[in-house]
Amino acid sequence: MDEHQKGFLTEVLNTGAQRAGAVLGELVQRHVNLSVPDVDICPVADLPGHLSLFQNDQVTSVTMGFSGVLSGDAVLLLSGFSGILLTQRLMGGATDLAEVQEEKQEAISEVGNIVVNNFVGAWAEVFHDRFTFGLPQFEECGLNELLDARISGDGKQRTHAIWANAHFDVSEFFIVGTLLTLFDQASVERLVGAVSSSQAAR
Amino acid sequence: MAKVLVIDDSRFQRKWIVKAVQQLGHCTVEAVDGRDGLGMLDAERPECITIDLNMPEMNGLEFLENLQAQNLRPPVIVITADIQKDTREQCRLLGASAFLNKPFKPGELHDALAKCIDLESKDGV
Repeated sequence: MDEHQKGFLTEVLNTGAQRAGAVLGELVQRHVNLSVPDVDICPVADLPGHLSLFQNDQVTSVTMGFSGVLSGDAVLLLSGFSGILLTQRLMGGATDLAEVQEEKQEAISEVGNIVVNNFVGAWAEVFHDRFTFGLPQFEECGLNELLDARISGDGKQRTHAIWANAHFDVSEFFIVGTLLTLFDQASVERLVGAVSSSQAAR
Repeated sequence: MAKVLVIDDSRFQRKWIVKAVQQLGHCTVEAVDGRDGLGMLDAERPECITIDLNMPEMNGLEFLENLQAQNLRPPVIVITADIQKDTREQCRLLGASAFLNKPFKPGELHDALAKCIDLESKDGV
């Protein structure tokens, strides 16, 4: 990917990330601080090095497969206690930890569903294509375990990640996370091609 | 007061929708996916249906196709996380009366329900 393609891709992913951040803000009724995505293509094996913030703790994640002109997995990744803090917020500040824990999987899965749909759905307009989505998959585990499962868990080899490190935080509630997309090699090549076509059409 | 069938596989989301519908003065029955909802139509005879799209067993689009195939016309409000224009258009072509994106605002649901219940009183199921 050359610098122009990378710039265009950053713009596309940023559009998705902005929408995802805005919808998350609506859910928690607070401003969400969002970085401009740091976009790169790297082997999935190198991802943990880019995600040092998430390496030492258990992560809470929601993964959704998507297909269309591009196919892959989009992952909402929440660090440490962010999953429980986000659930607590969605439950109106509930203080009964057992109750919050019980609702967490359902609540975070739905947040993942909404955020990922906004993140990936925004690309549909750019690529003039429609994406279809799988069901949200909730997981709580270490980062390496999560990535291992995503790389080969469904038999599809996700060799590369477009890591749109759209880091966000709702500082008031100590909620920190990122959005990742994982593609197989063929989709990475299609993505670079699609970016070139979209640039040419401008 | 109308009876509204709320179909969503997410218990968390169903809870939100049911609460919002009830706050608008209507009563609710719940189904966990399209197949479950379809099976409840005869017995429950809802005046309006809200449905998610991305669900296991039978998704929202398949549910709408089923209604169309059986020539059933209860007003349906699609409530989905899917923001794509093509999805909205597909729902419209399959007979959906309204389309809301999650998270919806209570006012949006109020307007959609008012429109659907008005349609229902004119057309019948």
